[in-house]
Amino acid sequence: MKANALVRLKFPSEKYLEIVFKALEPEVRKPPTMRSQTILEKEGNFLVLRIEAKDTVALRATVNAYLRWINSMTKVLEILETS
Amino acid sequence: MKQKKARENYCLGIESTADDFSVGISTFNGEILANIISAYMPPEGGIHPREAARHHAETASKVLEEAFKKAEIKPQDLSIIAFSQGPGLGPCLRTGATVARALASDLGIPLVGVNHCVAHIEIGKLKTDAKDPVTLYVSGGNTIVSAFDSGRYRVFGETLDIALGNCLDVFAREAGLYQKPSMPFGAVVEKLAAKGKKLVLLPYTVKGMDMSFSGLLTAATNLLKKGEYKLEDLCYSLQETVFSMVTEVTERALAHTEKREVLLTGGVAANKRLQSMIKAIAEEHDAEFCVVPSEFAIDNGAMIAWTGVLAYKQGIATPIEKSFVKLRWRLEEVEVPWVK
Repeated sequence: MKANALVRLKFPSEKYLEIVFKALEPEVRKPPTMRSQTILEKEGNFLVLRIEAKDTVALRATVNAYLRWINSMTKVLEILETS
Repeated sequence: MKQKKARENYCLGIESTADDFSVGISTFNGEILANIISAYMPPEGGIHPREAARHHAETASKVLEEAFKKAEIKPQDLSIIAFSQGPGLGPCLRTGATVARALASDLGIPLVGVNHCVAHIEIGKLKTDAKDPVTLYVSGGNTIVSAFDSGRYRVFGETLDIALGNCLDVFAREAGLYQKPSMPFGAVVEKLAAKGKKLVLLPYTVKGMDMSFSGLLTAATNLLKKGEYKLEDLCYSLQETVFSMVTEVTERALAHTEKREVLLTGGVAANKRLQSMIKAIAEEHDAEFCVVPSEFAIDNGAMIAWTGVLAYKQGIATPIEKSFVKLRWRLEEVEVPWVK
């Protein structure tokens, strides 16, 4: 592994964090590519993503994918909250 | 809000296998309350999986909101969440799957993973009242002739390379044609083909019960580049050839199974010429011709919702921790206990 990234994201509540964590777990366990590996952790209200990749291209793709998923889930959860 | 009927159950279905992100809501009785579709249209070229996934992630919440509005129900009214688990493009499937898992988890309701191909057949049956048809499923990603036998939809014939819809799409792009949401490439080719008169000989490749479209696409594209024939004639010849191939295989499946119905489903089902050819063979075999309405022919969330209902009624659910997407999930791998 040559490229690493650590992403810490604060969630408004433990409930939200737990939902997003649970939804991402299958993607961590069966990643789409062997070019990167991700470890998912919870630290209080923070979601922690530790990503290791073979190169910066794979690293960027993985970081982008996770952030995109988290963003879309957050928006969807907001709809449920306000409905 | 619509007055919620006593004990009414609803399923929300998320479709995200390729270029469309769609949310459908169905009652447990098969009434489709919403079917909102947002299509990713690349400015040029075919579907780029990453870009399509980006579109899905960006539009998911908007499509979901519209679906609830259209169905006039609240998220809390839902009983289950269904999602297209495969087959399809990895980045697109994963985007739909993460949204579906979050919804099911937040609402505390079961999640049901649905096979996209099974869903196309089931929505066709629901919308046409077909009971036990031979199905021709033709779209941009799949070309399958199937029929139910011994607990599963069996594949009697399929493409060996690219899908029929993909063949038409690539030819249209090579010809410099443009598509828009109201008129996809298939419809553009169909319109031009209607003006064609001269049938140009193209490779007709049916091997046993399977078909091959890539060689014929190359041949048609080469003829296009030579400029010897009018585009209308090439569109006409391409359509006649590919549709004849799928019609031949469908007819053989019909003769073999002796089923009494033929169902045409998938995005290409909207093509009137294909409909007339399949109708003709159905009549020759005393079978009823059924075609899915256009809204439900393309990839849509309603078909996922309805198939989710059928599966859930049989006690099928997908635990979130095991809800991995299945990029190459074949039709005949899926047990369909709701079909008797």
